[in-house]
Formats: sequence, structure tokens, C-alpha cells
Amino acid sequence: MYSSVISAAVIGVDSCLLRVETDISSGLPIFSMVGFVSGEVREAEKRVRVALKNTGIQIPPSRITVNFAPADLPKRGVILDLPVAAGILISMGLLDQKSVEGILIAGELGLNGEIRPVRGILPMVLRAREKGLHTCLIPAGNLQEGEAAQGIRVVGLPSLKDLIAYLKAGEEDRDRLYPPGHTDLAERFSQAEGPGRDLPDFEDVIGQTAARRMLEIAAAGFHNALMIGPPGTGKSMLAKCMPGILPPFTLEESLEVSSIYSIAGRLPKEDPLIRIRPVLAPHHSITPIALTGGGVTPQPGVISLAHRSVLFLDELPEFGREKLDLLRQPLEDREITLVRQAGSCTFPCRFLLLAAMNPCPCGYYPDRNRCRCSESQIRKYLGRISGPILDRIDLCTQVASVGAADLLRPEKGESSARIRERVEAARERQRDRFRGTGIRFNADMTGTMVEDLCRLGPEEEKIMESLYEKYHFSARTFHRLLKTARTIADLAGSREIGAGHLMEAAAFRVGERQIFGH
Amino acid sequence: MENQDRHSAYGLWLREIQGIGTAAVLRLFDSYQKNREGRKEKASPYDLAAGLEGSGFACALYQMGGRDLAGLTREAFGEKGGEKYMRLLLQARQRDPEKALEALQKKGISYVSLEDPAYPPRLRRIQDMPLGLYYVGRLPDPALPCAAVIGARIPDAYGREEARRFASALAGAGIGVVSGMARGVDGIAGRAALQAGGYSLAVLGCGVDVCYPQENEDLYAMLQGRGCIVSEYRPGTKARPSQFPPRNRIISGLSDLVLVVEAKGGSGTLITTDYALSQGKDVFALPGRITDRLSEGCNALLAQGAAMALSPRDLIEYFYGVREEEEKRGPGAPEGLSDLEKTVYLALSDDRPMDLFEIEESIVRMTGRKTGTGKLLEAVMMLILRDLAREEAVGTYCRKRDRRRD
Repeated sequence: MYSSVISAAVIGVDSCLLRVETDISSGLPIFSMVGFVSGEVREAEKRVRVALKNTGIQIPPSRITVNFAPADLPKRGVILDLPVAAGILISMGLLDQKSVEGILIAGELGLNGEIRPVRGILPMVLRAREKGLHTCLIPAGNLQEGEAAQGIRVVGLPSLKDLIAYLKAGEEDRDRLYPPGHTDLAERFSQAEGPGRDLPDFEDVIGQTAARRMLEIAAAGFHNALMIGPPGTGKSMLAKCMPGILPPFTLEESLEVSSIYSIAGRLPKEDPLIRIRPVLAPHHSITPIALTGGGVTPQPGVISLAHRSVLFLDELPEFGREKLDLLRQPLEDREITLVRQAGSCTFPCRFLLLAAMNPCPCGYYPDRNRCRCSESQIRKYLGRISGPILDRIDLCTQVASVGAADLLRPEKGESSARIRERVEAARERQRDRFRGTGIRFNADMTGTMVEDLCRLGPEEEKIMESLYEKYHFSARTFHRLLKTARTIADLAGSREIGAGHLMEAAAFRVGERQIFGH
Repeated sequence: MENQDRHSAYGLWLREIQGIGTAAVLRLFDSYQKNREGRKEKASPYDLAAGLEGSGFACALYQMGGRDLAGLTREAFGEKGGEKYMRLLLQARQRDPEKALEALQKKGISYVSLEDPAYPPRLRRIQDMPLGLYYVGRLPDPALPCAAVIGARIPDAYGREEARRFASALAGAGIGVVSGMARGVDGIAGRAALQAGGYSLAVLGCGVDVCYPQENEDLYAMLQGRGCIVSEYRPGTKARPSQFPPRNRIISGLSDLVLVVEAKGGSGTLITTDYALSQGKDVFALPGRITDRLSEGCNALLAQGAAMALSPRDLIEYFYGVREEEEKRGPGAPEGLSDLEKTVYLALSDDRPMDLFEIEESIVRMTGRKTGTGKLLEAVMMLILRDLAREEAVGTYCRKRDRRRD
């Protein structure tokens, strides 16, 4: 008898619905699976067979054929155990085909019949909702994550027995068996302010006038930024303060980012929505694959987990040219496409690159009483960061060591909350400006948009000319400067880019100044 | 071949004999002169060096009959030593001096020997003068006043700025700047002098065709065109640590005075000042704070009686005497700045790079008011654009003194 069950596969950050077709017919007892399946999917046969047996159901010796459609899409992972089991049960006549209409089934089976949690539930449930299914049957361990999707009935099942019971029950009994969740997403989101209070706050940062201002501009226009300073001056602390001044995720953004975490199997179990923009700070010994994503089954890398958040690279030159150059294309395209044997997939990675580095190998330049590095050593050290990477960084400043007097009698700085107000106002202006263009931030403007939206008055043009004369900008630097100036003007609530905004942007520019003062 | 080239060719031939140095040549010349003039007493090296000028002695050594040569070497070095030098000379006589000079000139390198009237007169008067100099570029005019500007290889912002300022002012006043083209102060001084349109000479501790250190490639190229690069070592000689102290005697020897910009205690720079003092040259040193390690050497020199270099004017007056037209300017910001820019200009330091936080604190001390970070950055950038400030390392700023005041 033929049966058909709906399940899903994850490709990159997306999910695609699958149809699992099962047929049991008389003939030599063979269990065959077709439809571009990988090893772990094939193993489903053994798990399903034993799990069914331990649930009290013997599969009759007959010819069983399972097909996964569409057949041209590679299937991986263990989520297909449960739909295969359901398909066999229907084909054996133990369940009714009608009972699975409009239901997505996904989950891994244990030999004792328990249903184990899997990765990628969130994007699957989102896709099921989009395709108009009414129910998702998922492992109980993934229930919280699945419920985050909203607008679709999500049922978490602990074991195969429960699956059978659920599918045998009538529509009205089903809700009684598993009452629909009451969590309201809007409500859960309003709670998000709570954990926010534990974040490091800018008011605890002493001094660092320039760095504070730079991070404010970076947060407002989503500009990449670089902090240079001796060891122990608080570069990491400043980075950790970033989430506090970035506007919290919108629901839509949160689902987008949480989906990536789900695929990577990194969603926290008890609270499966990422609400605070995380700061991902990989150590410089990270492998290229862990950074960009990859593997036989492509998994998102750190840069994708930092999507719409902050990627903090401390000790930037220590990452080495090879790894840094891997970031070039993702920084430009804001997504990364991994091509593997099993097909290609694309992960989004629009992250804010916040980098930090020492000014020289020993870290104390330009304090010549302490720094013993020669100019060529310093050049070599800085040379580990290739020009194209620097070209994608809009802002750069120094993080200085703070004197003992200021440490002993710290003067509280401006709080993150107040900075965030300005950042949000600047974001509001950008939203209005870019409505309908698909662009969200000043940093993402294209060349023509810069020319269009960053017009200068005669006085400003004169300033630009003298800046140009002094520093011999490239066209790219020129555009970056205008984008930064646009954000500074937005922060000041100004429609036009003024001379002052330009000057400030120039003071934060990256380039020849990054190397040396002569 | 012209007369001058003849001197050069035979001088070069004598220089390139392995095992014969200045002292040996002077001894040979002493005996040679004694025979010719019938003089009994030994002459001083200085007189000998002066006597060598235009003497054609190298040519004579090359052409002298075998018996005369044997007699000369025996007289100069005694029985045993004489034989050794005789052998060296005879072996060397198989080479063609003019061909060697041609080969050298093909590489664009010139040679001036002690016999040559073009040999720098100042150098002829020092102890252990080199037999000759390989050079590229133009040797200094004997009438040109010269000052050596030397110092630490890794100077701080203060040393860099002052090296630049002093060298530039000296060059502007028509004084040649001599240095070692080393990293740090030497290189900065040479560069600044050339950029100010003046003359600069670098004495290398390697062959003149070797650019060491590599990072001074730009200076090396500029010196060839508008200054001079000299060395007593044969072209192709690589830089070796043992060659640098002896070259310092040439740096001081070619200069009228030596200015030390920054030096740690025990720095190689102090070797040059020792040479300078033994050669009877004046030493100037730039004072620094007693806690700065990079000023230890300078301050020690001052304690020992070196002249204090408080401004380039002190050195220029050393050469030309006091000039009258110097006008005194009180401290203050230049005209045409906004109030905030003026305040920032005054808050900045000439030589200690300050970051924004420090500038802000300094302004609060001066005016009691706080300025927003954005406004502050704006003002600093404006000063940089008007060439009144400069960015030292990223995010740290120094005042640039008004050029007209030097």
C-alpha cells in the first residue's frame, strides 16, 4: 500500500518541504530507499525497524520502497527517521493516510522508540507555516524552538507511541492531548529587556572618548570599525558594550538569526530565540572552516552566526592574512555561498566587523620609553592585514591606556541607553531614506546612492578638496568618507552633511594613518 | 686619461691591495719623502697626509724599479715586514689600475684618494683618515659648513619632530647635513635636509652600492641625485656591525659640529661624539627630560659640557654669528582660527602625542568647559588640514609649530 508523509530538508539557511513516499508490496523482503539520500538517511531503516519493534510493531517481511521527493535534492541528517516510520505505519494500514494530511513530521528515532531532538527545526516550522500546513510534529526536545515560529500548531512528541496515539486521535482529541502553547511571542519579546540589563554598559567605561564616539557611529550606520591600542586598555570591554547600544532585534530579525542558530544546533534550549545581538568573538586560532562555515553538510560558520550582529576579531593581525582574506567576499556580498559535493548553499552574513589590534608587536608604540619595535617590525606587523580588508573598514581609532587617577576616581560616562536613543533615531532616519530599496544602513549604500544621497554644499566641497589634497584619497576612500559623514549627520539629526560631519568622518578614516604618523 | 683620473686610478689601485691600509701607506710615504728630501726625523701623519696631495705617490709605487721598491719597503718596515709588503705590491702591480677605475665608473661610482686635491680637506686633518672614499653623487664643497645630525635608531615623537625641524632649518640656512643614513634620526635628518632643498651627505658602513637599511631606499635615491653617499668600504661590501663604529669617525670628520638629537645611554651615537671631541669638533645635544631613556645620552653629554641645542638658531649662530632681524613672537595661536580651534591648538603639546581624552582634559583645565567629542575631532582635523597639527600614531595628535617661527 502506498503512503505519503510531509517532512522537510534544510539547505543552507532555508528549508524545503519533502514528500516521503512509502510503498509496501509483496515480494522478496527488501528495504530500499531512493531519492538522493546520504548514509545517515539510509541508516534510518535500522533505527525505524528496531524502534517499531520495541514499540510492539513488527514490520512484515515484504518489499518496502521509500522515496524522497523531490529526488534531485540531496537529503542529509536524521530528521527523516520519524516520517519514514509514519509512512511505514500508514502503508501497513495501522494509520490512516488522512490522519497525516497537512502535517509536517520530523525527528530522529532512538532504538527504544523515543524521539530525539534535531537541528534546524525553526526554519522547517517557518517553511511549513508559509506553505499552509496546519501542524508540525517535532521532537519534544525541540518544542520551545518550534513554538517560536507562531501561527501554526506545533506538537512536541516524546516517543513513537505518542506519535501513533496522536495520529489515531480525532481532531478534537488532538488539542486535548497536546493543548496548543500559550506563549505569545510579543509577550516573550517584551521580556527581552530583562536579560539586557546584564550587559556591560558604556557608563562603566572610563575615558576612551574617541572609541565611544566611534562605536556609536558604527552602531548607527552599521559601519565596520577598527580599534588600535596597547594591551589591557579595554578593547574587549568596549566590544562587549556594543550589544547595549545596538537596537534589539525585531521579531523578524530574531527569527532569521535564530534559524541560523537552529541549523548550527546552537539555540539555547530553554529560551530558543536570540533576542540580544550577540558579539561573536572567535579566538584567532579558529580554523577557516569554522570562520566561514563549511563541512560535508554545510554548516554556518561564525560569520553567519554573527549575522545582523557583531563579529569581534581581537588581535586582528594574529588571524593571519589567509583567514582575513576569506572575509573579503562575505564583507562585500553580505552572504556566503558554500559549494560542496552535496550541492551549494548560501548563508547570510551581514555582520558588523569590529576589529582590535595592538599598534605594534609589543603593543606600546608610540610610547618609545616602553616600545622597542623598529619601524620595519611595525610595518611588517601591520602588513599582515591586507589592504582589501582595511578597505572595508570605515572607522578607525585609538584606544588609549587610562591614567591611574582616572581609574581611582572614575567619572561615569554616558550610559548605553542614552547612546542607544541616538542610534535608534539615526536608524529611523535611515529607514526613511532607504524605504523600498532593500538597503537598511548607510554603510550598505552603493556608489550611485552615495552620489545621490550624500550631496555636498559648496563649503563642504571645498573641505573635501583640501582633505583630498592632503591625503590623496582613492575613490573608494572618498565614498567611505561620505557614508560615514552621512551617519554622523544622521546622529546629529541633520538633513545635510555639514563641514563638521565631514571633518569628523575624516578624523576616523582608515588608511595611511593606520600605518604611521609620518 | 686626465690627470685627475690618473690620481684616482693609482689611488684606487693602492686602496684595493688587501693588507695595506692608511698607516702602511703613510709609513711608506714617510720613507719615500725622507729619501727624496734627505730629511732624518719622522713626519706627523697630518703632514704626510697633506704631503700626499698631488704627490703621485701611488703612481710612483706602481712604476718604481724592483730594487728601489725593495729598498723602500725595507726601510719603512724593516727586513721581515719589508718582504711582506714588497710581495703584496709586486702581486698587485700585475693588475691594471685604469681598468679597475673604469669598471668602477661604469657602476656610476667615483673614487677620491688622499692624493687627490678633491679629497675633503676636513677629513685629511683627522687621525686615521681613510685612504680614499668611494662615493656616489657630489662631494661637498670645501667651503660648505656642515653639521652632523645623528641620534637614536628608534626615536620617539619628540626625536622625530626635532630631527626634522633642526635638519630642515640647517639646510634652509645653507648648512650641509651629514648623517649615517641609519634608521631613525639619521634618516629623518637626511630626508628633511633634502626636502628643504639643502645638501646632505650620508656615510655608509657598507659599500656605496648597498642600500642599508632597506627602508631608507627613498632617501638613498634622493641622496644620489641631490646629495652624496660616501663609504670607505669597497662597493658590494655588506653591512657588518664591526664596520659601523669606524664609519662614525668619517661622519664627525666631515662635519664642523655634531648635533645629537636623541640617544640612550651607551648608544652607538656616543661613539661619534667621542670621535668628534678627539677631532676637535664641537658637540651639541638636544636636552630631554631626565626620565626619558631616549634622552639619557644627550643629557649625559650636556652634563659633560656639550653645547645645548635649544633651537636650530643656536646652531646657525654657531656658523654665522648672531643675526639681528630675528623677531620675537609671543606664545599664542596663529590668526584666523575659530575659538575652539585656538583652544585646541594651545591645549596640544609640541612633542608629546595626546589622545582625545587627554586633549579634552587639558581643555577642561584651561577653560573649565567640556567640549563634545565630535566638535573636538572636527577642530583637530581642521588644524591638521591647516598644517598646524599632525597625527602621530592613530588617534594621537601633536601641535605642529608655526613654521615661520624658526
